[in-house]
Amino acid sequence: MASSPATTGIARRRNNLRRGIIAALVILCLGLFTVYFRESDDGALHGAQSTAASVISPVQEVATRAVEPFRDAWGWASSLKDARDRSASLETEVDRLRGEVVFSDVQAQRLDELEKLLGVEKLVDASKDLGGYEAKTSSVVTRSISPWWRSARVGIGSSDGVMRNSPVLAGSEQGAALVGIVTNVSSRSADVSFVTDGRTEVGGRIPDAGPYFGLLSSITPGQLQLSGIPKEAAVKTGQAVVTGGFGVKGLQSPYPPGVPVGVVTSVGPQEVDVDRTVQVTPYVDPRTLSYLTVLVPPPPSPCRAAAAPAWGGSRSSPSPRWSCR
Amino acid sequence: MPYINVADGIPDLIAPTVVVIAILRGTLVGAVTGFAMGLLVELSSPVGTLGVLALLYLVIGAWCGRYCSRDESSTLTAPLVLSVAAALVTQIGVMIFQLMLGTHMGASEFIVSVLLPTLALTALLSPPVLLIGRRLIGPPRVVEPYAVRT
Repeated sequence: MASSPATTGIARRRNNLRRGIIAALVILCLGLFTVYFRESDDGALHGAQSTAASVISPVQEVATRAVEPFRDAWGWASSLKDARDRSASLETEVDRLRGEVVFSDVQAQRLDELEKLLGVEKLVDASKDLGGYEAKTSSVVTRSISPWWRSARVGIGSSDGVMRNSPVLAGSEQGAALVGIVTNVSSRSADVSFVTDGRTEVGGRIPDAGPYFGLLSSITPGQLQLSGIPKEAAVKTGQAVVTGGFGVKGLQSPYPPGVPVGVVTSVGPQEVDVDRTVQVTPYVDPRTLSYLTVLVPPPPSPCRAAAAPAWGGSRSSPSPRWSCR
Repeated sequence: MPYINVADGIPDLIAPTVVVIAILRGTLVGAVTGFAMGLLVELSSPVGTLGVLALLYLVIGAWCGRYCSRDESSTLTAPLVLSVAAALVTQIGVMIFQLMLGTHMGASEFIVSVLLPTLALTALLSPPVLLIGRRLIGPPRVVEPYAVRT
């Protein structure tokens, strides 16, 4: 049956309207991400995202807590087979560590005296002294839905003193280790980009390899590369990598020095290169964590908060920030 | 769903949700649903973008809407295949976007650690979403911009 002219006209108008709506939405999307990446972190769209995060995060927290028993049960069941082996190795380790504690106390006392004498900034020790930083622990309320963004959201925000570029720690077998930095803060939540996220860079060094500083960045999923370490550095596999904790251009770093990050797993050949290629495996796999500890820095003095370019921190934040080394 | 992961793969349950709505209600509803769900994910999840996932799911919704009221929309195979294809399009779209931003990932690592586990998990977890969606939405019916006036 042939269509009448009226029906054909309505169908054409419907078609045009449908295409018009879809085209408008496509243009809106293009406009959104263009503006989003061109504006500063204090821009309108970032603000809207932070506001949405503040509103949604309490709901996400409730949902996360509701499913937590099931996740814990699954984790318990899956780790049961390794528990006996771990128990035996941990008993041996406890005996060894008891001996080391005595020696460590003596060393800590000497270190304290020398730090006071030389005016050196204190190392972070999560169990004793945070060098002026306040530790705030929160549950992870949500995570990134894609492996391209290795990030999570915690249920504490600017109202708790958390600020952008605050270091984030988590427990590991080597003690508290750096897992990421705060990249976005709202009043009741904070987004944490893990060190394995491609957008995060952290200044680091290898204490056993000499007084050299480099820049830690993610190269492949779950792996880091420490760049800028010169050829003369005595880098070997198995050496620990810690945060550098130094600023540039007179700005103090928001990172405390000496926070463990990972271990050197590979040192590349460097016959012709100026720098070594050092591959680092982080101590902590952040995907498995339910709680994260944010180190809230002390309130900045006016000179510290001054805008200046920095080498580290989140690559996606074009606004002025502190040095992250 | 970020808590269910194999290697670096995370199931994409937004894809089957958009697919089932699009395949049962047509292009327009599919596109609007894809846009809304993508935007919601970007607002509620710490992904650091705005408009990217909205655009990808919009395209998926608009494309899958073309299958509405066809014979394929009454079976489970077609939406399942479309869901996996949608997850594939999303992953490749995000990969292209990340490459434009300067975030690199090796091709083999992307395929082995991200793409294949994501597609496998999506295929595994999509059928319940598709069945629930079909039960809630009802039989296929194209929703037009406005009703016919006589």
